[in-house]
Amino acid sequence: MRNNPPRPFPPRQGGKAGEGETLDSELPTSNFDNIVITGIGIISACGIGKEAFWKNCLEGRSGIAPIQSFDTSAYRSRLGAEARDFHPKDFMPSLKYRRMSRVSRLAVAASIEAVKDAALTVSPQSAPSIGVVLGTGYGSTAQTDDFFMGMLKEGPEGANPGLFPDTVPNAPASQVSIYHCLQGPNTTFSHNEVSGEQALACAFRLLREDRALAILAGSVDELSFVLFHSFSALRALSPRDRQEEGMRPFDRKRNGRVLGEGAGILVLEKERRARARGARIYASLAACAANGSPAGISHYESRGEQMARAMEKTLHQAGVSPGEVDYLSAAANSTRELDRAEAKAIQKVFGAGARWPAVSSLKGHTGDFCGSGALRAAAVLLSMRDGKIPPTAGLKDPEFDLDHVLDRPRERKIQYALLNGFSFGGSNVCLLFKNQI
Amino acid sequence: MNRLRAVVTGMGILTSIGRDIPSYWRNLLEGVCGIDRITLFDASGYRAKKAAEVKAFEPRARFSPRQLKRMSRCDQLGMEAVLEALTDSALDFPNEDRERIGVFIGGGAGGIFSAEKYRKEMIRKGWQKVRPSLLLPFSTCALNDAIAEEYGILGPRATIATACSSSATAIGCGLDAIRSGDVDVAITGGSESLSEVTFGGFNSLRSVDEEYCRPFDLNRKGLSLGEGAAFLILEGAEHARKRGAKIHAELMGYGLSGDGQHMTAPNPEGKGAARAMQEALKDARVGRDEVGYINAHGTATPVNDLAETKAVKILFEERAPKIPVSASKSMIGHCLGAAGALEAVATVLAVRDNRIPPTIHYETPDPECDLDYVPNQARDALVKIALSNSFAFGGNNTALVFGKWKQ
Repeated sequence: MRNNPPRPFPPRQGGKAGEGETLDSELPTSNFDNIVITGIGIISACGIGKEAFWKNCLEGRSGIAPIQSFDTSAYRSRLGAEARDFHPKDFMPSLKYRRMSRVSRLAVAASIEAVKDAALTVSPQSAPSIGVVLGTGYGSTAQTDDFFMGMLKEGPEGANPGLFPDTVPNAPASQVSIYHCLQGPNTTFSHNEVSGEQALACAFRLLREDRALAILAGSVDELSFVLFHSFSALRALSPRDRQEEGMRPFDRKRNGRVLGEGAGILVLEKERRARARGARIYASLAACAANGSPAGISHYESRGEQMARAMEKTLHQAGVSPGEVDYLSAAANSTRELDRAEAKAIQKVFGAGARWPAVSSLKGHTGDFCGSGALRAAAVLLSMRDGKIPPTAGLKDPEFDLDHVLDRPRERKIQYALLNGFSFGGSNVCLLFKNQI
Repeated sequence: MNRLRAVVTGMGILTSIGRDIPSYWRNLLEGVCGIDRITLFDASGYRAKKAAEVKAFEPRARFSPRQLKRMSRCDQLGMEAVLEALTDSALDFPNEDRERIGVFIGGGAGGIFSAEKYRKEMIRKGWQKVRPSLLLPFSTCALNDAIAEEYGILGPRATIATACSSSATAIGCGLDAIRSGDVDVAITGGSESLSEVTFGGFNSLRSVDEEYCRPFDLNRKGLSLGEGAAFLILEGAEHARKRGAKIHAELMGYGLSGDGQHMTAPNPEGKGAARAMQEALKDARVGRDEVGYINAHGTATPVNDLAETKAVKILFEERAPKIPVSASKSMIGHCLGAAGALEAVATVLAVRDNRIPPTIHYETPDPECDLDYVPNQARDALVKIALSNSFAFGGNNTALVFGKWKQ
């Protein structure tokens, strides 16, 4: 175990506060336990359930298609990655989901998959030490709009109290905790495209500090008309123009993003606890680091310098050299700006070394959405399990000199994999995963 | 074993009852009510027509036309408060390592107020004719990114979106960042502006008092909404000592918990709230006997106040009635995403000055809510350690522990 942090947290003393369900009694005293992932739950446009999702990832089969859930005929774009095959009744009785917004349904369904995959049991004794930390860019925009439209049409009387509770961005994480009766720390991050990465980083820290024994961490977003319209009005979507509309990360002909939706939820816990209960371990989350880039509110850093620093900080935290990274899951989202900046950043970090990581961006499969971080993390974990790196869907003519995975999956044993999260507005979060086998 | 400690070296605020820290604190102690008729939008169709607005706020005097175009009211309130906090901290920006300054902010409805304007115009004029820049500040993190941009900050950022407990959790995230050695300085806080969606929403749930909220009173009928912004500059104690910074108080710890029970109602026994306070005290490494003041979540909904009272009793047992517990929301309303930070500021000031702000509008004691709510009159009392509670929709609970700074 070499991934001890350079600045270790001191061991905690026993609480002097009142008696009760304290965590200390059940825990080993060491704080240098690895944080591992023992469960994965995925609901996405390119597959419902992690195996279906993974198969499509490897085969380069994208979830992007003409949008069906609303009319796009008045717009310059018409594509989206909708989780069309998602039916909440396949996961839970209607009594449970009928009051939930779509984004909550996606999150709860993914959490059911993750809990099952981790074989995690929740008892009244363990419930206070199992938490939920999710990231979401915009929460339930469709339901918020329905609610507001009700008010606009009928005035105050049109405000439907049944719709309001799920308009808050913390509804998905709260609904997950309600469904599984989890009473540990419960919080939600919302920071553009690094919402999910921030959630995973927070879960990592909460576990390190023994604030919980296990955490359901992940991210979720829905593709709604409101979001589609807003991104389109701000000219932030790939349009039909000289180029074909589509998601082409790192490609010379890329012209913008295609929106997607989905939920990814991981079960994180300490390695010691996971081994003690005989859980299957996908990998450990070895390090996460964050910083900021100088960028305007709707732009990315142009030079990629701070992005490079974020990657370096993450590797440094785990004591890993760039040459040890086998796979880099890029944030590239088919925008001119981000892909160029990220390519520069990757070249800066790995340029001097003889050994380069294989690079692919999963957003060609899933579409771009703020809560894509945990889905992308799940693909990294499955890559490690199988020693196969998915290709970047949509990438035909690479503009940058990187070791891209094109067309078909690359077979490679992965010891370390880096996941990049870079958001417009300039927030960077990188996560390093380590194979535990 | 020692760990890094975090102190509060700057504070800034913008509320219905005070536009800076001195006026806020004076009015909080005098029991001034900021809840008044709504002027931001037409509230005539609602049963309740009052909220705690930030009056006479003139963003045009402060921001460039380009900034005004790209910022929601929430962002503008936040920028104003963070400026006061940074000025108060007297941080020497040119000499600080910008990568070691982080920004941790709690958001509520954020840019909804701008998005509402957009939506209305979209229906009236057709979407091709509406100014899309109204959509720019829609992300909850817009204020966070705007602060980083304005001050050239290159450290980590995070935006928490748990409605009513957002900014309290953001302060906890700032503490983590300092303790882990990631940053020397953490800019923490939150901002919220009134909007029709939130006002209409809470009204539709019948959880708004038509007059003004009366926390812990027998005749309490619900909350009053408010708006405002508050920021606390957290700093590593050693970093603050080296530059000779003035220290308001120490942020000693925080605790999180979940109810895992219901989307809008708290656990009626207050168990989740009690665990958040207990976790916070454990994290702060202080005993419950040392707590001298609790700034309550105190929304004045019948269920919240009873559950919170029970939570205090679970944790403090026979000492519960002796601890002063007061609700700042009786004066500033419930400012949702900003509430945690606004009340953290009140808690820090109570610790610093040994003065406890009252719960106003308190007339009739509720036999079930039988703690010392500091009714209507501020009080002098030695406060070494204080708790600030924030609980949110969905049972997302956060408690903060502040203490007097001593080496």
